[in-house]
Amino acid sequence: MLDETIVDSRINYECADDALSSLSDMDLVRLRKAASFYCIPSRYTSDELLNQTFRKVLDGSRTYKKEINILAFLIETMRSLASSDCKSQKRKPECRLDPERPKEHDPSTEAPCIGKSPEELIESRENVAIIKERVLKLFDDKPGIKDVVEAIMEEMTRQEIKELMGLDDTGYDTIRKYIRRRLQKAFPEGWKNE
Amino acid sequence: MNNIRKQLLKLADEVASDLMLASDEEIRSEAIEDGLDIEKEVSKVRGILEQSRFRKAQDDLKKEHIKTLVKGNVIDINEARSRIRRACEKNKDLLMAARFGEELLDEDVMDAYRQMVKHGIIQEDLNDDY
Repeated sequence: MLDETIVDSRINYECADDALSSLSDMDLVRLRKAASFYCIPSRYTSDELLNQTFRKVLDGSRTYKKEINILAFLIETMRSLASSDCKSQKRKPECRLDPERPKEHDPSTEAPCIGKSPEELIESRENVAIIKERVLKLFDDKPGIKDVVEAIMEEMTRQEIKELMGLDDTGYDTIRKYIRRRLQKAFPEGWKNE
Repeated sequence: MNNIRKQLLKLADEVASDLMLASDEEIRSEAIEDGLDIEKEVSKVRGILEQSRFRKAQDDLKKEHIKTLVKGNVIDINEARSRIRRACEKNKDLLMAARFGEELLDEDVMDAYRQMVKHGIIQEDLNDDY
């Protein structure tokens, strides 16, 4: 039984590792861009989030099966990490005595930079509010698109937004691409590094 | 979850979905348009991946080392935790030791396991009840 567990874990690791090796350069660029946007609601930096995502997949905490698209799997894992971290912040925001962050930060360390002083917590809440304001302001010249951004933030589904705005799939995808491009241009290093 | 964080997460979902749909050519030309050094970006992500692999290998080595610490029997850390837990459940005097289950570091669990084997609380034979 014990041996079978070890063998299974080895097979899972090799399967995940092969899939990770198969990622193309453009997939890696996609991952980096996704991480820079997913990290903002969490306490991870973009690099930490990427590192944790790879580790979850490699250590089998998230079991990868070879028939799954590895890029989609990684992005889903990344999202799940960011979301869990946001929830855990809500449940028990951590305060630490020493708010200083290590100067040489190693993104491969186990946890995100989770310790926050009360001042940092307030600042971080203010930061996300500022980011939201900046995001919406980006679309002041395109009220229709701004409405879509607001609807996405209000958790309306794709279908609901399409119906509300009278869009078909192509129209929705075109607007979404426009939103992404504008966000990327305004926040080239992701929201957290602004 | 902070409402604004949740809203930004939803927006990130849409960004990610669009990134998934974009073709390689689109991603490449957008990167060039944005003045991004593609090679540098790629190398950075590959570096992070290598770090993750290295950490995983380190963890595996550590676990392998821990496994061989119990003389005569190769025992997995999870099995050791589970045997300690079962021993504690059967022996009320070991109530305090029940804490060993999840909170201790692997090395400490193995240390506790060795002590319990030494004192006959847990039998060395892995086929034993605990």
